[in-house]
Amino acid sequence: MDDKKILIIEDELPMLKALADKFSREGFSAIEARNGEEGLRIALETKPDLIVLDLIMPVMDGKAMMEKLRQDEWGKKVPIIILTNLNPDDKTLNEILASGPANYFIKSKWKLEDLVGKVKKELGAK
Amino acid sequence: MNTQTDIKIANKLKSTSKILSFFVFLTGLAALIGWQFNIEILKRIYLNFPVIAPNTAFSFILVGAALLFFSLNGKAARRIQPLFFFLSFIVFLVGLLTLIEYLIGLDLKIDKTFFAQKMGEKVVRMSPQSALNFIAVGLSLLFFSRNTKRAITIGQSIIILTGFISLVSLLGFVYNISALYTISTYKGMAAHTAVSFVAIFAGILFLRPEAGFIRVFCGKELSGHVSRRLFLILLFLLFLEVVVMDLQRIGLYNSSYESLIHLIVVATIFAYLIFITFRSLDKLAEAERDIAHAREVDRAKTEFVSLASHQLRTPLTSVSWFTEMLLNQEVGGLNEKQREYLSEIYIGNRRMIDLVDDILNTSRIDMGTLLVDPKIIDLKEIIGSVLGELNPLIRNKEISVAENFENDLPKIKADPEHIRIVMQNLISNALKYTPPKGKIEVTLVKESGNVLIKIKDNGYGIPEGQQGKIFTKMFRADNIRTKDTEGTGLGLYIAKAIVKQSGGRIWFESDEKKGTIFYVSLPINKVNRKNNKKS
Repeated sequence: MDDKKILIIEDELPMLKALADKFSREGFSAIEARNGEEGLRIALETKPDLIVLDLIMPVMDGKAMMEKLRQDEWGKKVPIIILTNLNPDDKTLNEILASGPANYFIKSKWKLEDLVGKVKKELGAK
Repeated sequence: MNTQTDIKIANKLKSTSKILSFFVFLTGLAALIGWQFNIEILKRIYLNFPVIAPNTAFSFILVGAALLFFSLNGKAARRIQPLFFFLSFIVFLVGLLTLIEYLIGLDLKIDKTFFAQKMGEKVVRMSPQSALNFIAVGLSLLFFSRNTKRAITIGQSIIILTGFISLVSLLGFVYNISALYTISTYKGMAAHTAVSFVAIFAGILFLRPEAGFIRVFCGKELSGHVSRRLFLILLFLLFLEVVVMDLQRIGLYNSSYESLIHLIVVATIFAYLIFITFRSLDKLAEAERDIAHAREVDRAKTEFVSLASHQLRTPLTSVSWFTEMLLNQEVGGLNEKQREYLSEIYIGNRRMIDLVDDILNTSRIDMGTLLVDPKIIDLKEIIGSVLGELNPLIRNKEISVAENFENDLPKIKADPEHIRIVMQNLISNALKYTPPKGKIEVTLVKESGNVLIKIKDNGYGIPEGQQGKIFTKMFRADNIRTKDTEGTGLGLYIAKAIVKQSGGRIWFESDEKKGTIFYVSLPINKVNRKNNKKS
């Protein structure tokens, strides 16, 4: 998994740190962004191999960021894993899932290990 | 109508009924004395009023006695029941036979049962109205003897006839219109007969004021209060009208004044009615506002709980993730104690996350925002994954788990997340409330149009006295409180709400110390798409 870049867009600092540390240790190159706007800019600049995206964030939320990203030629194809604490029956979450293929992941229900497994599977399948 | 009865008022009416019964009894007795000793005033009250028939007087004694018997309570009442029935029947029979005499012009010789010599040639037969009244009274009492709500309503309805006939006769005496108490050439009703019938009418209505339609007047709530007030106004109006007419008759004012006074009386009473109506509706509106306010507060509370729980998830997840990484020794080795302590932190944190999930689910159920997203699901798969998740607990307690899944089980249409919550709750309950080395059994079978899930354990069971409450929010049975301190009492509440919303059914059988079986029946194809919005 060397050289694979993962962009983590998450406004909660402890979570961002946990995710970045974990992915770095797993051998990925982890890039951090604190909100949707920053995330979008970094994504278009660095073209990561996968994006881990939180939904509820200040400045620009995950939904808006994803919509913008999908307008870009490269952004259309990049795999996104949505990271959220919303319930699986939440309206916003379902709208996003309906708008395009994306994996989602309920933060509190899963271990970091599971997320790593999912990311690896996603990147390996490519 | 499900208004509560005001016991005080009901008892007052019952006492009134007793007094009236006694009065009827005495009237009958006095009339018989009048016949025996030829005391005209006891027989006819006033010189040119009709005389009371001996049979009427006799029947009054029976009715008075029957009513007094009825008001007895307990054992005595049961012993006297056949006598009550007998008295009522005799009264009914006397009325019926007399009416037959009138109708077919036949003398059945019943009118001379008493005081034959005193009557001489002339037969004193009770008036046709009295005969009809006694039929109604007898019949009404016979219904009362059945003592069911329905029978009492019928009994009360029948006695209205008596009330009407006797009140009309009574008005005849008050206004000196003999046509009102005498029908064609027959003997008229005696004045005290009319009064006694009115007393019987009221006496029977007040016999069981908490039943039949009279309970309207005994209501504890606003409706009862208003009905009583309106009834008193009616009585007052009648009284005033009579007084106004009487004062005109004795010449205090002429008839055009009388009309004016009538108008003033009626208008005043109407004004008062408007006032009462306004006040009642105002009170009602106030009550409605209170309820709406209470609902609002309730909703705000639920929303707050929901929001707060949601906020808790983020830090809880951080703790979980960092602990996970430490436990995995990703950032350095741990000694035995460090490992043990971190495991405790991790377990405690998971419990908090589960609790927050339970609270969130409960608030979503309470707010009606639990949305259903039905998909074709495989119950075997869901149960398998839940069992996998609970594997540490299963191994820890050395519980044997048997899976009896029927072959060719159809897939069902339901919300996978929700069904997972139900299975998770039921199976983890079975595990938690079964002692180590116990046995649980999960069965899946197809039943006409449904899939039946059966989760059986040989655990502590649910105490019989508490079985009715287990689906209530925050309820926890006494026998498990001491054994397991983790539970929130929300799991079964959530499970029931979800199963209900999925169009299914959940129930259980339990024997304390033997174990519990939970059943969930889910429809194969039917899904209730509606939200469970609270109405």
